[in-house]
Amino acid sequence: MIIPTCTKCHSRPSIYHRTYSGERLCPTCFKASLKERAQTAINRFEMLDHWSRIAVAVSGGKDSLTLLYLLKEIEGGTHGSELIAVTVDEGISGYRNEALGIVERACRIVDVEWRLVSFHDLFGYTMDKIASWDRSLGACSFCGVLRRRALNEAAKQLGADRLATGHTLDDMAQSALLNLLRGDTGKMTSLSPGGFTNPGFVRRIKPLCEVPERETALYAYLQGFELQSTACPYAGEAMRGDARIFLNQMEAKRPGTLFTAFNTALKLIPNAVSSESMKICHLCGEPSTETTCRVCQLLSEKN
Amino acid sequence: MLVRVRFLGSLRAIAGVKELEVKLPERSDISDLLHLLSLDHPELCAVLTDPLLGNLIFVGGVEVSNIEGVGTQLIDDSEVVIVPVTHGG
Repeated sequence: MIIPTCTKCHSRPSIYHRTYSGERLCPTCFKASLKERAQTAINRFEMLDHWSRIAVAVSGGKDSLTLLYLLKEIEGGTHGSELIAVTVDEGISGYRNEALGIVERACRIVDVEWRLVSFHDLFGYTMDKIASWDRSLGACSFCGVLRRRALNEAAKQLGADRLATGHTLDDMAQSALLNLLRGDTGKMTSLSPGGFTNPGFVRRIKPLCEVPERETALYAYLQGFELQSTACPYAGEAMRGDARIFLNQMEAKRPGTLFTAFNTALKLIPNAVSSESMKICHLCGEPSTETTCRVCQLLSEKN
Repeated sequence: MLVRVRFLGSLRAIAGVKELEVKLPERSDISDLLHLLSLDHPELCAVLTDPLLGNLIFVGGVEVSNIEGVGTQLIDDSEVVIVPVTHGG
């Protein structure tokens, strides 16, 4: 078996072929390239200031653990930012408990403070309870909206000025495609990797927006991360799965498709969201684009 | 020849084991291994044979797309590690 030499260091044997760029990388150069990719995205989209206090959303999956490790490496050195890991316990029996243990151990290893918040404490319901309702939308629609609120609440309580999430290039391309398929071009704004500053919202940043999911899996393997064995029981309900299959098909045939989809979507994002368009939800008092926020709209389905 | 296969992440729960030993004819390659695993463990068939899921498959620490893909030859005592890329949730 002939193993090509790393195309970056030209000395060590490669272990990975990056089809979209043609590079063949050894473990050292691969990990360095991922750090560089995240750093470049942080700079390109002006995600951070010096001395940022960053709440890092860590679910315990490979993407968020990669985010935590890379941010620790990038920001823990010279930039002087503070990191606090935040995990949301949605209340999904048999699924979340394994992940909580993984996050706790990972935070101990990288020496980052860890905060846990739960749907039950914040909204009065677990995701299992919500899933049992006679609902008009899929479980993922509820979970996504409530998780975003929970993370924002936790970040506010922690005094964070940034909320970093582990959205990968695949997530970004899928969201772009879904917004187009649903005719919801207004939602392209939420794809902005550097986020927006709006009253009541902690600015959300996506440092892994240019890292393919395949490469967070490789990073997780090379770093020896514990990988969660249980899949979310409600994941099959999401339309996102269809977008993922289509895009993976395109990427396999035409490497680079994910990058093209993401970069095209960026051109459709307005430069800023007017804070004048923001209202206050008349039920919970949280900022919203409508008079009743999405969280309160969804939770009203319990009746 | 005997090949050791190690599953990571969600594949462990699907396979019900962390690792196993597979007996293969001489000069078998990765596609032969995946075919045999799918026959012996039908629950793995969909996740192992669907190229769109893009599992990372390592032989001796090298991802097979960096060598000869599913045509990568195995030898006696090879260690194969399969890492799922897509994880629900």
